[in-house]
Amino acid sequence: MQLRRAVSGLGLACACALTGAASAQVVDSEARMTVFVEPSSSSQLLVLHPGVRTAARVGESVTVSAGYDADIVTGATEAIKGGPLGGVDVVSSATSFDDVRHVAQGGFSIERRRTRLSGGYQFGTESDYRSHSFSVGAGADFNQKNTSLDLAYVRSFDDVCTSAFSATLPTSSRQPLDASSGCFTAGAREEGRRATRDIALDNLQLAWTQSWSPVLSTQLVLTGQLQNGFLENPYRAVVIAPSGASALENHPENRARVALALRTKYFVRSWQAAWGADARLYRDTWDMWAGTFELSLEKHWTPWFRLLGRARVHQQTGVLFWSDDYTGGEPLTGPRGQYWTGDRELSPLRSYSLGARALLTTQRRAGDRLLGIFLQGAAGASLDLIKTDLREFTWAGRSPDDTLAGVMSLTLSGSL
Amino acid sequence: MTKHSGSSIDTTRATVPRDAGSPGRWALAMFLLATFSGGCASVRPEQRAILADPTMQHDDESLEAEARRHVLENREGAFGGGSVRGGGCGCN
Repeated sequence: MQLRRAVSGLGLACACALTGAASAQVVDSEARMTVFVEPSSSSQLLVLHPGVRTAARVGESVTVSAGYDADIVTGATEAIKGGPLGGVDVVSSATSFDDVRHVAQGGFSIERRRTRLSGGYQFGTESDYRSHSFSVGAGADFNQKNTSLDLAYVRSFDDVCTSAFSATLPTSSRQPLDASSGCFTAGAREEGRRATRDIALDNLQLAWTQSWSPVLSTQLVLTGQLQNGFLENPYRAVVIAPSGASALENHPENRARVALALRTKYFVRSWQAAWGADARLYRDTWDMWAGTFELSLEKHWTPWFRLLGRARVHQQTGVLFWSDDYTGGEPLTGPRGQYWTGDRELSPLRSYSLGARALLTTQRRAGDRLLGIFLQGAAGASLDLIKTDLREFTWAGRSPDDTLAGVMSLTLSGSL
Repeated sequence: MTKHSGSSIDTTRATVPRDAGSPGRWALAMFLLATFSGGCASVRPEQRAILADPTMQHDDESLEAEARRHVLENREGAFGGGSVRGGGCGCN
């Protein structure tokens, strides 16, 4: 049913894009296949992430777009989190799963000489999660286009499937979902096996882009997000008592997040290459601090071939209520007030990423089309390796072995 | 029923969300900085060829970049500073 709605939504968005294409000057299309691999002896993960997008320019200033993405996930995950004191065999609790997420989106943008306006809608569905997102954006250029200001706002209305516990049930008695079957079906709700919880997301972003010289530009980006609702993983239980008893993760239901990023691009004429340096500071009301730095170099080797190399470092503190073991005492392990989590992304960690991307492009003269169809085309391939250094997180005292991941992408794009 | 009990439990510890800073103040500072410092830069239109090169664009909105962002956001606790997107559980 959800898939049918997603496909219908995509169909509608495509219809809009194609209606535009009928009188369009240019139609840009892009297709991508990304493979994410996370090897592990107990909780390996494989995600296939295909996607397509098309945009048609209608007249001088209007562009309509449509797109579709999917996440095809297979793997295994540990359903319970315990620390070194909990006495629970966490690793053998890993259970296999597979799921497919569909995302359909459509949008428009209007560009004048110095101003732009955009809007869009995105619908995502998977067996245990649904999302409706509405976005609007506006921007303007000043000082002979040397200064640009852009503002974007996205509001998401999400639903997540959980086990059917009442709001009055003590959080230490709530249990996780054992499977996604029956989610979003009236029968399972009536039988008291499943429930649906709301998540509301408000995202606001302000970006200032500045050209300082013919070869230097910067961008300062301020992002804020408010999350409200069920912010736990509905499948994950945490050992919270020395007896080994566990309960569903329990997170605060509100989280405000803010990030400030500065990006710099500098072109070295003699190398025909652009240096990029990005730095980001992040903080949220769960008391997480994070800093991220990325360095990149992209070079034109020939007019039709360019190569990018990038390196990234990220470091974060744990959230205030993070503990590797909620059954012990202070200060290293033990309870952190009324909340508990088994989410490694909320623990103190460092992550390192190294990657490269190659892009082949072809540009045709007017009237000379590639394969008789495309005005221009491009093919790209990229590979990134991500290593995560979990500084406190363990599976019952054992270091996880799924901390190295690879992301490979192949893309094809063309303009009609 | 599981009890989260024991004398070592300190339920008075601050788990109340704290002030994450003041985004409004940051936004105002950005606007003022953009307004006043932007006027100092004077790249003429005929000098913008390199700035228009694809390697000099800050917003990489390609599907490849989107997929990479999606992976990183699901493996780290922080987010932001890039494009604003919504949706997706990332539970698995």
